[in-house]
Amino acid sequence: MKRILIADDEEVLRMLIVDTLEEEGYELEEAEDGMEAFEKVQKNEYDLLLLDYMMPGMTGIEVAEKIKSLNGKERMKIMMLTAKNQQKDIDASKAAGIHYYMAKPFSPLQLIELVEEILDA
Amino acid sequence: MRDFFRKSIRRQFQFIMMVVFVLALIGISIILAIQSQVKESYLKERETLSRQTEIAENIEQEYNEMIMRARGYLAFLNEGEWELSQEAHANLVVLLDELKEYELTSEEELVYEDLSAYVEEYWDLLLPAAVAYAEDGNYEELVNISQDTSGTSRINSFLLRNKQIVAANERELEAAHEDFIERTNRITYALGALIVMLFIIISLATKRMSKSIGEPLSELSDASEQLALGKEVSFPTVRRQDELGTLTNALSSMAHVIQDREADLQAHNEELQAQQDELTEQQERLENSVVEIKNLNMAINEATILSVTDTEGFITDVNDKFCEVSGYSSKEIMGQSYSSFFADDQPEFYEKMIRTLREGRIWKGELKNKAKDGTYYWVDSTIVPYKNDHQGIEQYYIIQFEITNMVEAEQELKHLLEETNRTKNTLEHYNELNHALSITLDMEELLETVLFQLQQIFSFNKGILLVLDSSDYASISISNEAAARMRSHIEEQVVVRLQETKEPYVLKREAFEGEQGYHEETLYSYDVFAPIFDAKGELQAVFVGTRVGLSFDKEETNELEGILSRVSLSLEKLFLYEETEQSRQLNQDIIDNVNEGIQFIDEKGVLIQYNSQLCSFMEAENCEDCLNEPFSYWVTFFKERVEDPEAVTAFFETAIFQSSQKSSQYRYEVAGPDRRIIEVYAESIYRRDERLGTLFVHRDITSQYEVDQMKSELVSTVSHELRTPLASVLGYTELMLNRELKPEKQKRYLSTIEKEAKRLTNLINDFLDLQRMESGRQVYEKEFIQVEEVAQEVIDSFPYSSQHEVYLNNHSSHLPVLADREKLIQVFTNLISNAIKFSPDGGKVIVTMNGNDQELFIHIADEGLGIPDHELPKLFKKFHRIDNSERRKIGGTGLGLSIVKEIVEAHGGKITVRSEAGKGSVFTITLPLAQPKSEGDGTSLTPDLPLIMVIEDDHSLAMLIREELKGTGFNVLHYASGESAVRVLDHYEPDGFVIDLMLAGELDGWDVIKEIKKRPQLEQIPIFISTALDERSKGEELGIEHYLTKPYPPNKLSTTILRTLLQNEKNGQILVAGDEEGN
Repeated sequence: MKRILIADDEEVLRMLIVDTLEEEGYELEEAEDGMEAFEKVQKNEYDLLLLDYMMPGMTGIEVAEKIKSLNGKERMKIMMLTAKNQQKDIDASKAAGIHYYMAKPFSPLQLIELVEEILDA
Repeated sequence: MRDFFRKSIRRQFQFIMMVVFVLALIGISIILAIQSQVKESYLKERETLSRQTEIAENIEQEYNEMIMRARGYLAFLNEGEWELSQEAHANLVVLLDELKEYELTSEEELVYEDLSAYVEEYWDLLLPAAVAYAEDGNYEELVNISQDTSGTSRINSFLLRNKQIVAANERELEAAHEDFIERTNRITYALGALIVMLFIIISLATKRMSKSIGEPLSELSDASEQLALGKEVSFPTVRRQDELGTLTNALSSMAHVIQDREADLQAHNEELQAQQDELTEQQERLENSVVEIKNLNMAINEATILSVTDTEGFITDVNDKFCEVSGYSSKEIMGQSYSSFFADDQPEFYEKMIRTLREGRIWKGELKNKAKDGTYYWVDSTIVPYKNDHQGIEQYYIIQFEITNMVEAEQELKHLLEETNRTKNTLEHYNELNHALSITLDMEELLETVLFQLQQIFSFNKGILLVLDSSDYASISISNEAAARMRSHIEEQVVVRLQETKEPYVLKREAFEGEQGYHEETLYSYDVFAPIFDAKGELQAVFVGTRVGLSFDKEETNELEGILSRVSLSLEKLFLYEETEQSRQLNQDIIDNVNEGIQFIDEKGVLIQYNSQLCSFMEAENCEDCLNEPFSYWVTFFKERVEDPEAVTAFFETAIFQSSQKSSQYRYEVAGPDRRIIEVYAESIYRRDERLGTLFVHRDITSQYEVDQMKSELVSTVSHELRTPLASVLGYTELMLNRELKPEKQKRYLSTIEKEAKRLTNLINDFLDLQRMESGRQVYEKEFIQVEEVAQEVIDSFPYSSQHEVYLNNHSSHLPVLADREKLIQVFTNLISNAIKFSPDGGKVIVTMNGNDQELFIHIADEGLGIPDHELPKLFKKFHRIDNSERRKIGGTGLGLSIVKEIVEAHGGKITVRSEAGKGSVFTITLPLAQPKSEGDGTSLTPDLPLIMVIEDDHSLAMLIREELKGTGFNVLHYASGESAVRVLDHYEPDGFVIDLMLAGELDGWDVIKEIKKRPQLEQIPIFISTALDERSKGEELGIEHYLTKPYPPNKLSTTILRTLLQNEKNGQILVAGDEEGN
């Protein structure tokens, strides 16, 4: 079973993602902010990290950069899921090594598709 | 080795001779050897050749012999013949073999080989055949063989060729001989050449020797001759070490010794000569001195006045000069006392002189003496007491020079000097006056200076110089009042005369008392009135000067006129300058007072003008340093202060120096703590197609820039804030539409959607509220409000919670605040709900109110999470939420505090916060109190409208009444309790009271009425009772005219009040009691 970590400070959004992906047979875990997400990634193995951009403490970009600098996590799959969808934000994500991007509000069905695609790749 | 020869001429000579001898010997032996060799080779060759010839001849002979004898044998078969032929053959073979030992030419070899072959063939083949034929007697065959022509012709050819060889050998022999002769000749030539060469060597050697010996020798002999003649000789410096060198050196040192001695002698001689000369000269000088002394003596007698007196001053001797100067004869003088010559004046002077002399000291000084004809003459005198051996004075020698002329000249000079000084002073004053006239640009200073200098030049006692059509004047020794009088006198009378005459005039009058001073006789004063005309010939200023007791002559008035005409020019210049300066100042004031920074640069880059606004943009203090400075200088002012110096410099350069550039625009940032964005545009300035320079206008667009920045930031934030709830709503909706869900799940999804949709609505509402407030479009319905009531209302509206206790603590003076009720509710709601939200673990929320006469303080304190220090400054910013997930969970739009701040500030108040993380926060709002008794202040009541105080504890009814009364045109003050109303009674004087009888709290309506009636100033104010109780009679007891029983239509109260007030006004008195309609 594939493991996915969801990092978003908005509880309702985490809930929505969990509700969306739960039935697709993934093992889901949640992190309330960037720091928690980073700590979890350090400790456990995940197949995918769904990452919010605007979070207290550490932004999604900072979390991604820190993860990418960890030994053995350079190729960790990360998807940015954010309301920040201007071109400069997308560019910043790419610079941080994030290659999957989905703007809020997002379609749960599309999210399912994209997650499948990423995990199959 | 070299030294060995260098040190001796003899050895050199021997060396040369030896070389010549050896060379000759070698040459001759070589020649002889060659000659003998040549001879030997010739002899050898000749022998060889002769032998060869001999052999060749023998071969021929033997050959012929051999053939002949063979033929003879063949013919006659004679054995003798055969033997001879055999012998010849043997000889021939021997000869041929011998010949082989010599070197032969190829032709010779061929010949002899042929021959040998033939001889062999002949002897071995032919002959035996022939012999056989002959012995057989076969003569036919024999003849055949003999007649074989080839044999015969070969024999003949051989013979012929042999003869040729012999001849050639003979020729060769001859050639060898000739060659020998020639070689012998050559050797003879070589011998000759050798002899010539030797001769040349010898002569060269001789020449060199003669040169190296002869020349120095002749030099030496010359030098020696010179030395012998006693002349100074310099010997050639010689470096050689041979005998000549030694000789030269010896001679040279000898010559030096001789010469040195000679020089010594010479010097000694000269010294003697000099001594002699000196002696002669001294003698001459002595002789001259004697003559001079004689002359001097004569001269002294000529020039000096000499006399001798005894100790008592009686003259014992005089010289001729004394007689000449005094006019007395020497007889007359002898025996006279010298004091009889003294001039009579200054007896003290003489006494002092005599005292000095008696003390035995020398006296020097100038004496004034009397001559016989009574005239005086001056003598420069030296009187020397002549002392004997015992220091007693025996007599006095008086030595004098007549200096009468000198003394007179001196006196004359002194006089002249004084005169010159006076002239100099006058000139100086003129000079100063001119200086002032040309440089002074200040009217007052100019007038003062001119007047002072005029006084100095003309010695005025007093004077005034005043400019017409202006208040400017200068005066000396004239009081301000007198000057004012003088001005009116001048303007009324003097001006008229001066305009007619156009020249100065003088008035003579008796001196005033003040001018008279201590003089007893009548003094006259002279007033001079002088005009100053401008270029158009109009009178522009007048000078009046007074001299006491001294009139003015024509020359002086002319001079005065001259000076004043120059003053006129100066005045005009001054007027012009003032005018220009004023207009310049005006222009500068104008450009200094525009909001833009202005700067004008000429086409060379020099800063011509700037305004003070530019300086303040640059935050520079010493801008004036840049004025009239070149580009490179003033541009550093910008460079040092802007964020991007290169770009700014480049912009200036392009705008100033590229004349094709008509106008351009640029934006730069001033560095420093306060960020400043400046937009500058450059415009070329032309006058008649000629480019004068560039005008730069700098505009501070910081606020505009910041607004733009904020706007874009806001749009981004709003978009983010809206997207989050929107994502939930849309997401769950999609899930519901696409999935089969259990009813529980459906319900959960729907409630989430609802919650998020509400959140979205709140957000939008808050945002729109804030936008409205910020843009100033929010209309505040301000009225008089008792804040504690609003606070209580809000507190009550929060649902009861066991976790949070919210209550109000009121210590305020209960004065009302002019505020929008709804907005004030929003403030309390936001702050209290924040306090509750951020106290997740529960705790008290206390609203405390206190204040003074001017302000009301509202503190809302909680015991919650508190706010970290670094967050405090950003707390009231839009969408700012404290970055902390614990708080994130609490939620909110991030706009609440911004809205609170806007509202509070719109009410002239302010909000502050202090907090301690983990212990809670206190928000404090300060609001200004309504000041009913003060006038014209924004928070006071609308002055024209009557004020009605409403005391009503039912909130909704109170609202209703307020709306109604306000609609009718009253100011309304509402109190929810009797206590709060009573507390403010002393502060107000309303036009009417509306009182509910049943009030929550200790005081009821009746108590309030009693309180009102206690106060004389309120006693007559109409009271309207609005109550559900029917206690009209009790009211009447208390003098209450209007009693409205609830419920009544709202407009009833207002019409009643209005009518009552109008009636009071009409009657000019207090309303009398009486029944109201509809009681």
